[in-house]
Amino acid sequence: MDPYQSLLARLKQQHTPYAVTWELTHRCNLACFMCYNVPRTHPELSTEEALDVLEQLARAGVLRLTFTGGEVLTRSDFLTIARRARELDFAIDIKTNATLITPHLADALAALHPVSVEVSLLGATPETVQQIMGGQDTFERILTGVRLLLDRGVRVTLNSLMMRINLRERQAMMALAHELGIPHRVVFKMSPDDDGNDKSRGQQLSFEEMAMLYGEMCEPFHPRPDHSQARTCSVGLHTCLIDPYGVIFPCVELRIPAGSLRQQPFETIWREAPIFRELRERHTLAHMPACRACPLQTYCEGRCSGAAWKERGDLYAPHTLACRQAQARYHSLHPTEPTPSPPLFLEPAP
Amino acid sequence: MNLPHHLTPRRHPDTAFRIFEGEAVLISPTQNMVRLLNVTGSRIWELLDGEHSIADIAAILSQEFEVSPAHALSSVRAFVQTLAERQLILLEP
Ligand code: SF4
Ligand code: SF4
Repeated sequence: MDPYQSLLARLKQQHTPYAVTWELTHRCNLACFMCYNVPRTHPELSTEEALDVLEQLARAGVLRLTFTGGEVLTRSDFLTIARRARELDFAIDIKTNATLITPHLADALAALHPVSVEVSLLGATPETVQQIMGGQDTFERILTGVRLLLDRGVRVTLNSLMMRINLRERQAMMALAHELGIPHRVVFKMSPDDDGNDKSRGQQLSFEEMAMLYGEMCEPFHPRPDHSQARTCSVGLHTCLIDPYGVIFPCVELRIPAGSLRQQPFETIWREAPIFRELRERHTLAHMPACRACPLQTYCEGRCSGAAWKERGDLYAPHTLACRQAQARYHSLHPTEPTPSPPLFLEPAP
Repeated sequence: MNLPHHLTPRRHPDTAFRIFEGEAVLISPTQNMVRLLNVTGSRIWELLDGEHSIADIAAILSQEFEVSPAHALSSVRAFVQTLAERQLILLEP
């Protein structure tokens, strides 16, 4: 293991908060139909509150900070918060739709020296992007924003959530990223809304579509260890999420509140919240009987306790997308063999 | 070339870092690089605040790690030189 990986393993073991994702706002200038944020009526953290949170995170030892939204650039104090984060020696990543980036703003973002800026690219044509994200000239404005950042030496990654509506444009999106000279990442996971409402379910790729994508992408596959102490992800160990209202959650999917920064200091929530304790003690395969018994377990890359909780109300259950993804992976690696069924697909739906 | 010992180098403002149990993790977005420092390197890193000179840092290290002043000075110089070459610090305040 390289020294950085062993450091991360140590931080996980010691439950040291290392990386925080912070949804600075749920406001957005666009209206993606599959957006999972559920806007609330109460006020988001003020500039003063956000600056105080930064001090608390720095004291707790957090190094990596990802600013996301909503659209972070709709916050008029975004640069004030991000600059303070850099003064406090955080390594920052920024997720944005890039449509609000002007030359002036691109200068300011470049001066923050973010580790990376991640931009969502949901189609390779103006029509598809418009259909998914809404807005005016959205496709052109995304590309303009990306180019303004690239011209200033900012490292940009394009993220594409693959859905039925944009599946046919995957190659063209890849080509676009290639032309821009930047990495392109494909994501399958469509999240139900934060309140569990699964309004975009119809856009989720089928098993056959996923298997085809796996076949095309030719990514290396690393089977997952299946011993009882293995974890399907590191949720709760060294990362967490802060929402715009100062509520801490284990991660972007797992919306079980750990506590509010308006009521308790970060370190108290991090150490003492029941959900963090639960995850640290119990979030292992030993407590996931269905997954342990599953014939596809070592092919399963997408199991997510947040998704299981939203879909089944059970942190330790399987969930449809992961099972379908595992079947697709199996099929792409063994196309001539019958694909086994995970236990979930043998039970009637709840 | 030996760096003058009165220089007061400081951490590059673009370099992000934290110290975990005495070991520094540096992330340089400009260099797209993560670097881990050992305990001695981390202590030097902490002292690279634009206030301490190379000589001050060597004196502190010599005391804290019980090494000879001459050895401490040459180690600090070499280390500072490497960090400067990697653009992780600025030599001028
Ligand atoms: S395929 Fe489904 S049941 Fe099998 S390990 Fe993955 S989530 Fe669990
Ligand atoms: S896999 Fe799901 S539960 Fe685990 S960290 Fe990712 S989003 Fe959270």
